[in-house]
Amino acid sequence: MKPELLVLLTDEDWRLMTERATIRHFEKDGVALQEGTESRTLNFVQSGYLQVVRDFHGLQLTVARLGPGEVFGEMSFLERAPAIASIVADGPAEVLTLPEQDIESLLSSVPGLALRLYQSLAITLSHRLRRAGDTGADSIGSTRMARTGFATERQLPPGLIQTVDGIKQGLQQIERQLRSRNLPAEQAAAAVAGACDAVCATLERFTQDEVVVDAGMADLLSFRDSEAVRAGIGAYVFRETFSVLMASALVSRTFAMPRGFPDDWETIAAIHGNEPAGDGQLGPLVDRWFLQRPLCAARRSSATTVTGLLASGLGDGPVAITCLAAGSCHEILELLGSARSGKLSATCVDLDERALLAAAERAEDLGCSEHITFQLGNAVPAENGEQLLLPPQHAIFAVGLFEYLGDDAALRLLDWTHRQLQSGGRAIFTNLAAGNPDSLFMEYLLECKVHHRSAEAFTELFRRSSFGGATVTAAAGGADLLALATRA
Amino acid sequence: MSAIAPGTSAGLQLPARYTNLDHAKSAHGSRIHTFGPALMQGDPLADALVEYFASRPLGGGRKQLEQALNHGIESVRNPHPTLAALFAQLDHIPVWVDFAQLDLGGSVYLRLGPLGQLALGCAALPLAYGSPVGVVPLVFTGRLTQRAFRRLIETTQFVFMTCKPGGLLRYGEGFKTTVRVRLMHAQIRRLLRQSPKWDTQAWGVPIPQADLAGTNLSFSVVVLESLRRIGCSFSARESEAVMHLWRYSGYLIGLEPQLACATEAEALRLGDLIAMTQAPPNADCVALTQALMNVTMHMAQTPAQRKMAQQWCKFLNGLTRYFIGHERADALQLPMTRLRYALYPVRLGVMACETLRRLVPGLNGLAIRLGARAWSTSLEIGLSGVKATFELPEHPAARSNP
Repeated sequence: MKPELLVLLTDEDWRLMTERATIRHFEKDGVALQEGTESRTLNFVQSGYLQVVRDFHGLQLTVARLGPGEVFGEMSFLERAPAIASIVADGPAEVLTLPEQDIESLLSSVPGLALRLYQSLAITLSHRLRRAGDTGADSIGSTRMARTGFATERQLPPGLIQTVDGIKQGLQQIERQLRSRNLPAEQAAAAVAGACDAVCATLERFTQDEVVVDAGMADLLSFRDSEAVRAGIGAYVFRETFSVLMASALVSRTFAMPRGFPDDWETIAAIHGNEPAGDGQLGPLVDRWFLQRPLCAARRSSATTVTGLLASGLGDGPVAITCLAAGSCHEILELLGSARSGKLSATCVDLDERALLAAAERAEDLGCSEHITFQLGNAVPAENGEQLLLPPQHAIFAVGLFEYLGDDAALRLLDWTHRQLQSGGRAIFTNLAAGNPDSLFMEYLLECKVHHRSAEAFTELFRRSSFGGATVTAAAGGADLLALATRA
Repeated sequence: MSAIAPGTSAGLQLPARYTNLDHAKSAHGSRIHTFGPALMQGDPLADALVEYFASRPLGGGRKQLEQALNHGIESVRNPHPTLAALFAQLDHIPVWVDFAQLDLGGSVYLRLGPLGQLALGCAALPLAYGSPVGVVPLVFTGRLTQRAFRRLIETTQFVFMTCKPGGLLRYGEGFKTTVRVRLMHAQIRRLLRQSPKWDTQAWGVPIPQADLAGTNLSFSVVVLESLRRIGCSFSARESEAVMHLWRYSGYLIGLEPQLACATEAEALRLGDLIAMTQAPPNADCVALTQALMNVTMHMAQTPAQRKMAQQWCKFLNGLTRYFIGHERADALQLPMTRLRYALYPVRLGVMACETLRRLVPGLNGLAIRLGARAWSTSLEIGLSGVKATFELPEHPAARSNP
C-alpha cells in the first residue's frame, strides 16, 4: 500500500522500494521506534495502528496515532538525529521498513527518484506541521467577553440597582455577623445561599425581554440593541457582585478559565470533590452554594449516569472505549475501578497536556495505567479535514463538551465519532440544556457563553449526522441533556 | 370578517391590523390598496443609520449624529454612507417649502397657548391612543400608564420647538428635535423587531409609515378642527400655513411624500381611511387614555389641590368627549361628566376673544407673545428643570378620524 502522502512517487518507484524493504510485525505495545534512538529508516504502516508516544517526566502521553498508509521515522532519517517520540503498536500491526543504505542506493540509480521522494517527504512534514498547528481553538477555547459599552446609566432599570444594592447590603451584614461570631454557621450558609440565589433571580428578572426593551427605550439615542442592553445589565450585576462571588474558590477558578475554558480538569475535579473552599468569611459559603447549583450537580450527575451506561456495556470480551475532552478522566477511572473492567482498553483524549499527565499519575496510583492510553489532541475534527485516528471503538463519550461546540463543529465531531465506532458501537454525549437554571449566571457572571441546546436541537444534530438520530433524555434535574446513539 | 383579504398590494403581505376593508373600500375605493403597504414600511434611511450606529461603540452614534445636526454633515470626517444618505435627504429642501408660511403656521399654534395644549392632550393624543396596535410599543415596555405626564410634556415640547420662529430651519431646534425623534422611532422599530414578542403578521412593522402619517394629521388637521369646535377661528391662509408646517415636519421625520398631506381636505380623507381600517380600542387603549386624562392628579400635592385636580380631570374628560365624539369616547370608556357643560361658556369666551383679536390691531401679535409664553411656562413647570429626553415614542400610534 503506497502511502497517500507520497503522492509524487510513481508505482515503479514504490515497487522498487518495497522490493528492498523488510516487513516487521508487531503485537500490542511492540515498539517500532524508540524515542532517543537513531533509526535511519523510513517506515510505512501497512496495517494496524501505532501510537506516537512521548515521555513527559516519566509519564507516557500519546500525541498521535498512525494508521495504514502513514509514514514514520522520516524526521530522524532527514535530520540524522535521534527520534523525538516512540512508535508503539496499538495492537497487531505491520510495518514496511526501508533502511538508509537501500534508499541511498535507489536514489543514485533511479533517475528523478531523489526529487520525488524528498518532495513527498516535505509534503508529509508540512501536513504534520499543519495538523500540529491546528489546536481546534475555534471550536473550543476562551469565550471571555468585553464588559463595557453595552448600556448607558439611564438604561439600567432602577429596580435592578435597588435589588442589587439590597443583596450587597445583606451579604455585608452576614459578613459582619460572622466576624463578630453572631451568626451560627448553618444559618450563615443558608443566608449566603439565599443572597446568591437572589443574584441569579435578579439576572433572570432583569434580562427578560420586556425589561430589556424597556431599558433600551430609556435611552434611545444610545443606539444599543436589545442584546447589548441585556449584556449591559449582566455586566452591571457582574461588577457589583464580583468581589463576593470571586471569594469562592470554584467560582473564581471557573471565571479565570485557566486553560482557556471554564471547566478544565481541575475545576471538574473540584466539582467532583464537592468540598467548599474560598477566601474570607463568605468565600467558602459562596463556594458551598455554587457546588450545589444545578450546573455543578449536572456535571456530577451526568458523569455518574454515563459511567453507569458504559459499565452496563462491559462484557467478557475486550472493550475499547474513548473519552473525549477527558480532563480529569473521572469516568474512565471510575469505570476501571468497577468489577468487570479487566479487558477494558480506554483512550482519554484531551487538549490539555497537564490534565492528561495528572490523570496518568492518578491511573498509576490506582494501578490501572496499562488499560489507558492518554492521547494529547483535539477530539474535534478540524475544518480542513484533519482528525484523530482511533482503532475501532465500542463506545465514545464526552461529558461537558458539546456546549462548547457550534453546530458545524458538533456535526463534524458526530460524523468522526460515527467513523471511529465499530458496528453496534455507542456514542454518549451530554450538552447543557436550554433550561439550565444557571445559564445566565454562566453567561453574565462567569463570562462563559456556551451553546445551551434544547432536546429538539440536540436530537436534530444527531439526525443530521451519520448517526441519523439519537435518544436524548433530560438529565440532572433538567440542567443537562444526555444523548445515546448507536452506529448501525 | 372582511371579504377583501389584506395582503395583495405589490405582493406584500399586509398585517391583520388592517381591517374593515370592505367598508373602507366603499368609501375610499382603490386607495385602500395603495395605503396598505404603508403599514409594512418603516423609514429606510433612519433604519439603516440606527443599524450602523448599533455597531459603533457606546456614544459613538450619538456623537456623529449631534456633530452632523449641529455643524453639518460636511463637518463629519468620512461619514458612513447611511449617515450621509440621511443628511442628504434632510438637507434637501423640497421646492414646495415656504419658510414664511412655516413661521405663520407656527405663530398660529403659539397664539393658541393653553388651548393648543388642550387640543393636543384632549384630541390629538386620545385619538392616537385609540389605535390598539399604535399603543403596542408602549405596552411592550410594561409601563403603559406610567409616564403619561412625561409623554404629554415631551409631546408639547416637540410641538413648541417645531412652532417657534425658524424652528424648522436647518439649524433650528425644531429641526434637530424632529431628526432626533425620527431616529428614536427608528431605534424603537429596531428594538421591537428584535423582540420575539413582536408579531409582524398581526401588527406590521413597528411605527410604520401609516402611523407616522396618522400622527402627522394629529398635529395638523385634528388640532385645527378641535379648536374650531371651541370657538377658535383661522383664516384660510392660517390653516394652510398650519398644514404646511406639519407637512414639512412630516418630511423631516421621514414620512413618505405621498402620505404628507398638503391640504385639510386631503388630511381629512386620509384620517377617515385610517380610522375605518383600524380595530376598535382595546383595554390598553382605555388604560393609556385614562392615564392621560388623570395626569393632573399626579401633580396635586395637597388635599385642596387634589380636589381641584379631580374637577379638572372631569373637565378634561368632557372636553375630550366633545373633541373626539361620543362614539370614540364611549369606546375609550371616558366618563360622561356634567362639567362638559362648562364647555359652552368657554366656547363663548373663546369666540369673543377671537373676535377682538381679529378686530383690534396689535392684539394678534400680543396673543402670539402671550401664547408662546404660556407654552414655555407650562413646559418649564412640566419638565421641572429636567431636559426632555423623548424617551418613549411620543406619537407612536395611528390616529383616528378627526
